[in-house]
Amino acid sequence: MTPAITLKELLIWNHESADFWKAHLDANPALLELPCSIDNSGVVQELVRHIWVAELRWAQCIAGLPMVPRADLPKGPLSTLFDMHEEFAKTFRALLDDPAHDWELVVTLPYEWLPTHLRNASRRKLAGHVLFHSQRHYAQLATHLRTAGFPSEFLGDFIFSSALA
Amino acid sequence: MTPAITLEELLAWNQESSDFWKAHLDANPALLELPCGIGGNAHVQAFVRHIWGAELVWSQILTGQPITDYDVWPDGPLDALFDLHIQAVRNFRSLLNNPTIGWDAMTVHYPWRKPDQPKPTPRKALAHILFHSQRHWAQLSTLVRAAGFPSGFLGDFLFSTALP
Repeated sequence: MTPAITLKELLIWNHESADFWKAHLDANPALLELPCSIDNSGVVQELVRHIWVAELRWAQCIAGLPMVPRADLPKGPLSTLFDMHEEFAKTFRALLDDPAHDWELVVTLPYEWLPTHLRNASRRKLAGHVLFHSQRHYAQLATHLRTAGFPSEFLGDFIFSSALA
Repeated sequence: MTPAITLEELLAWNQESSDFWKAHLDANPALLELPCGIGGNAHVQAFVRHIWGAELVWSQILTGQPITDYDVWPDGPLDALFDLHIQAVRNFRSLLNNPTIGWDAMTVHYPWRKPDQPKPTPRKALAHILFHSQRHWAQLSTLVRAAGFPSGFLGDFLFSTALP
């Protein structure tokens, strides 16, 4: 057996992190207005939007659906942004439950900013990408808030996840 | 087949990120002295030491070797810190090449584990330390950019050549 972490396990970890931040930002709404330069977002709410917009759009890409243009997606409030995460998770779970879904199928990405040799990627890679993309940004967000004087107690390391033993 | 990202692929991604930062910090050594509060580390060099030292310790735990104590890790220079990573990768690779490992057995004891915490499986523990580095590299990238020194780090998995 090739040891691996399943996409299902990574999705559970993703949920745990998203749920933490939704609850934390619900309880501390002023944090959403904090300046934030990560990914040129301007404020924390925009960074959170970026994370969940990316999830939704990549899920659509992996599912072979048209990707909703970024500008057409909601800007807030938090609960509406979280809905995008929920929709991502629903789409993603449906794909994981579909035995006919070909995860090794290579998708050509229409992004000119991507180096040519990276424009063709398997759905499996794109799935890993979007799940890790969120975790990397949550790690940055935790540091950002702590530096700004508002530690979140986020336990983002995989060892703390209940996704697997 | 259950879709998954293999630990081999995660290790390849890990090496790409480490190689980037080693080269970038070699080329820009002043960055090592930048103040850094992440993980209680006073400056970037100590933070990098934390990332690669943690890799070594977890690799030793996973391969049943004595743990190199935190106090024994070199403080620098960067080459000596990178050696911690190189040693860790060697251990990770020997683990991945060992066909007798029970990847799903809850057998991994780490010294700072609390009594109420179950022992993780080797599969989880190896993924943990590989993600640990990636999460910290993402933070480092933000830190140096915020300090006025964008690194050009392409840390997303999309940019990895570990898999098609």
